[in-house]
Amino acid sequence: MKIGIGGIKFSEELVHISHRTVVPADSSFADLIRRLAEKRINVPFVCSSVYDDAALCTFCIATTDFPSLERLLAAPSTLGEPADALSSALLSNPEHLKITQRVGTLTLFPHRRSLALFGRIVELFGQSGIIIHSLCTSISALAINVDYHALDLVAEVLGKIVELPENHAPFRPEFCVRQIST
Amino acid sequence: METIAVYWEPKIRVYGLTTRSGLSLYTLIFPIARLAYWGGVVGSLEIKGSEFELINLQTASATTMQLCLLPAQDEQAADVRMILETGAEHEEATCFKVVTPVELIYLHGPHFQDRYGIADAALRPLHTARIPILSAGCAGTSVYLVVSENRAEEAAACLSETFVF
Repeated sequence: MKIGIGGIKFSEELVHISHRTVVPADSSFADLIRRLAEKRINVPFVCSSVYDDAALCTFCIATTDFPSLERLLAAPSTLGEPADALSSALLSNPEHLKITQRVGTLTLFPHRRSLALFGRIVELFGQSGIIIHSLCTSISALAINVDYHALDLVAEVLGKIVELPENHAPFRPEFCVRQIST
Repeated sequence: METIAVYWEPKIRVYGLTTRSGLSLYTLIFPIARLAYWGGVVGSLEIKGSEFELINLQTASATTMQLCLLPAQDEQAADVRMILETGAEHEEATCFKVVTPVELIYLHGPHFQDRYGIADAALRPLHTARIPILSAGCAGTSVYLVVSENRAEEAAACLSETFVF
């Protein structure tokens, strides 16, 4: 039996960054998020979880913001840290930072806090070989990061288990909202 | 075509802040090849009457994924724990951990997904106050933060530095 949902939305093209830290000693993730804010780079997706002393953190930025991220990793922070302290801590260790280009967020809503919906989606993706880079729930939606070029295919596969309103097609970003000042 | 709208606020306004206590946080690390299996296991929890507050799933390495599950109703905690624990015991290369009790804080606000600085405004005050974040999720217009027992009130006070509830 299919599960009824209200709709599916696709994001613009994103860059997906996964970061590992040792908690609580390593502040590099908080520093990185702070620097993104200083550079007015929007972070539309963040999730993190801790297992023992290791925190795994994932975030996304727009592909158009990625050159700014690369620049800021090599630039001194406003706190007067050494120019390359953060970048060397992050970029020089591929175990700590993994950057995946060309990712898109498929947002499915509403989730109604349903473990069955989540479970069946994950089960289906596992069976279909669809790579989930990351996933996080919000107050009403399930945001799933997959390969950007696969968004249409993923929506089609989801059709096996979810029922969309009649004539619904995934919403695509037709315009971009960008905050340009505080 | 570009349209510019002007709006200013001294602090980030939200639609309210909610806390929940007495929850249990489950974390699983498992082989990517077992994704379908774990999807089936978590999906079966709904039969027990459980809903979720927060779920996140991340690629932990080239071969593993890390699932973080915060069920909504603690009355089902014993069943949820048993099902996940039993599932993990029978699986190879799988790690399972429960942190209980934990507390959840969540807030949501206008166009959070389009505005820079929201994640920083949520994470920085807790980091500065040395309140460990056990799990977090910022997607859409929502911010979810999981903290240890008896830390939610303090965390909410810290968040009042950057948000207006």
